[in-house]
Amino acid sequence: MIEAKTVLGWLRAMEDVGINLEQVRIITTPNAEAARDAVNADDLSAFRERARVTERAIFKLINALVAPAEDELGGHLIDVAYAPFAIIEWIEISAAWRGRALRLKPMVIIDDAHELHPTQLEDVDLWLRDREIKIARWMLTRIDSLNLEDFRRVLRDEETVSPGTNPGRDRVRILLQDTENRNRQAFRAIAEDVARRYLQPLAAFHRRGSFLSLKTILNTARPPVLSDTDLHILRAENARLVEENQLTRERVEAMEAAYPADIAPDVKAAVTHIMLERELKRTPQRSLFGAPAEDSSEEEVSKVPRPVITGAELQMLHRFERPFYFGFERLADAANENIEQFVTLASVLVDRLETQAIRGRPLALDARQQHKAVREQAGDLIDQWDFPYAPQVRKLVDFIGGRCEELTLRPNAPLSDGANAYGILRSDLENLDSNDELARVLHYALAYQALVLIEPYECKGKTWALFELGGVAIIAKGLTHSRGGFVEGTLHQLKTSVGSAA
Amino acid sequence: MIRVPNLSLDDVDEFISDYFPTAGATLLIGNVGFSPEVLYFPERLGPLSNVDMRFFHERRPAVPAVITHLASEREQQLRGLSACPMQVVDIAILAEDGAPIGGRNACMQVHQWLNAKAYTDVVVDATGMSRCTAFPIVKQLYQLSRDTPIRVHLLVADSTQAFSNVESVSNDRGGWMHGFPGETETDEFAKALKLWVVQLSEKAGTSLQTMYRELDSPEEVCPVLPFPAQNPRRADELLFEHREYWQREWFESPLNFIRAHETDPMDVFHSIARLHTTRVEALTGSGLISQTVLSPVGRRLPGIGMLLAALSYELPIFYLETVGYDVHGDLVSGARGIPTHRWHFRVDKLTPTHD
Repeated sequence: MIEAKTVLGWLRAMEDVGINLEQVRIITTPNAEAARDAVNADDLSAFRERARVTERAIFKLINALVAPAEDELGGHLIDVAYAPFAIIEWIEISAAWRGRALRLKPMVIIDDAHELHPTQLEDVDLWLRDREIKIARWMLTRIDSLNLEDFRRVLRDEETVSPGTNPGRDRVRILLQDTENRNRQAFRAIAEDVARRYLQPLAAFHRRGSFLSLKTILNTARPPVLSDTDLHILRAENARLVEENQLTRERVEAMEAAYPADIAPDVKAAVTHIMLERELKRTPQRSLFGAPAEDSSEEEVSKVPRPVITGAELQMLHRFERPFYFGFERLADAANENIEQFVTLASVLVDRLETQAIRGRPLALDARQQHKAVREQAGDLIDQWDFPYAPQVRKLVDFIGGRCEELTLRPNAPLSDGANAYGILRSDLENLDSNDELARVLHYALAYQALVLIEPYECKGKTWALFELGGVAIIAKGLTHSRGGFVEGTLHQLKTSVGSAA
Repeated sequence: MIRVPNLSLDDVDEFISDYFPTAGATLLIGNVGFSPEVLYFPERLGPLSNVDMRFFHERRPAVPAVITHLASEREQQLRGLSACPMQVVDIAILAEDGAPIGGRNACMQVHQWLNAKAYTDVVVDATGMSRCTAFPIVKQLYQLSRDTPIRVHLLVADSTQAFSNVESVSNDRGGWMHGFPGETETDEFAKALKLWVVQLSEKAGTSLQTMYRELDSPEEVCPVLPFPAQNPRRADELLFEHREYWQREWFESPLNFIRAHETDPMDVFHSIARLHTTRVEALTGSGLISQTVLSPVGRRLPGIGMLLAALSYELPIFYLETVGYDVHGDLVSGARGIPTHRWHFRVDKLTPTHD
């Protein structure tokens, strides 16, 4: 069937550009006369008809309401025996078409090959690896559509060796999505380009004339600020913590001096909150009447790393609804390096900008508008998930998201910017049976990027498998996009969270 | 116009009590569904000594235990109704890799039942049956009736109080319903213009978009809206829910909407028949071929109308398989009474037409 459809596709493609089939010659490998006759390679209309006969015969066979009995199959098989791939080498087009003769290498691309049954896929793979086939062959598979076991095997780059094949030599594997080395900068650049192409054709923006950059529009939004009331609450808490810690003003100022220079007062207060809570956990309980702690100003105050700043912002998001998801970079990072996901998330923002353009208003979205739009969109997308096991995937995302939120909101921010993944020991994951419901739920969760599998992940001297939440889920749950922070758990807990069908 | 002899409401019950007691050997094919209407027709036909009741039990991977439990209860109740020995056969709807095979399995099973004994009448009770099993076997029986004197009856009962808190979870890839393949898959029809007639339904947005994509952006889209309907605003609400698709993605103009009665399959059937025949007529002589593709989504009765149209005009059906169910809250069984809608069709008397 693949061969018949490919041949017919080649012929249609040539006719579409105005080539008369009489100007075409099929060049076959030497010593293939009998095979050549079998496919009618000498007469193009007979060649096409032969392919059509095969296609029709197989079509009729597979669409019969009741499959014919095995002993009846013999009659159908005559029309089905068809093997042009074994002999076709070139397609020649005479000079009558474009002034000079062309010798073209025909190619077949099989898209979405993962939709085949695994055995079929293996068979097709084995067949196409045959070195005797002279045409160009491409096969596209979405590896995250494979079941969990095969997916993990592919990630580990293990190839099944079958007789007659030479793994690594008869096939070139090209990964279009690099799950290992996340290059956020590279994707941000791609996202910028995609955003430009997305905006350009929209009629509403044409009247504006000038060059539009989504990145500029989103990034010119002023950072949000906490309301005075909320800031007051935060500062009061900090004051209490300073007392509990029995710190001097100088000490606090020295600590705050170690923060990056560009942070706003409200962020500063939130970071201080975290640092003070950490201080509290570090030092032993002091007596209410004891002497104040020695001024350890000689102690080197280390610079506060960026993740802590992010962690503070996230805590303010959850406590005070302070916008977090704004700016072009955060939008790009939420896409899991997937252009479609980026466009889906960006579309709500583009919609709002389009409305502004139509109304003749200046194009601008402040931090709160961006944050609200993107968060609502993320929630909607998750609600609309409609694929096998979607309800269980939602439960899984809720469970993992809940645990991550808990960890992120701990006052001392143990993981700085918090967690966005659930980690189980790799050895634990090995216990998952491929027929288990959880395996299927994970299969679809990975296929639809509700989760991303990061494996192996070395941490604290052990090897983990991390189930990181997808970009959309991260936004919906209010967590960080940076990789690395995870909640420790077990396979059993994951199974329970999904619940047996009840 | 194609004629399909049909009866509705009390006429159906009258017909059943008049006709079947004196009919020849009759085969009743049903499904062990979880709704209470599943018992309605078996209650009337089961006690007859000339009726053999044979049931499918559709098996899907991700079904909540509460539904499986209810289905088992139904099975017990059905056994109690049968005068002759009853058979229940498991029908796997999906293969291990997720491919939909329900239709094929159902046809295979019906083939076996028909070979086991000679029947004069076959009744398909599509009340609790999924489309993927009901449609192929009705076509199979319809084709059989063209070559043999067998009589084919299609019965459907439906109530407006269907389980409203049960949502179906759809597969993520579409396919042609078994027995209703799309000829656009073949070379001769590769350039045919596709007219997509799709039933709009609540919360079906993702499914609709998947089908649209997999049909390779059909040239014309005709969404079917339920009107008249019990909730007069339902059509408007559906339009609003899916506005992103028909306003932007599908480049639709409002004139292409079909309004067909929410619970009258004959209205849906005639609307589609009119649309299809007019289209074919309009394109005759233009050198263009057109293919009308049907997609039943959501409620059962309009889908039956689509089935009748598909049988009459050899139309292909494209759909997404239901792979499981999602129950929100408790499963309320609902009071049993006479189903609000009852229909009977003599499928073997469907007069075919040739384009």
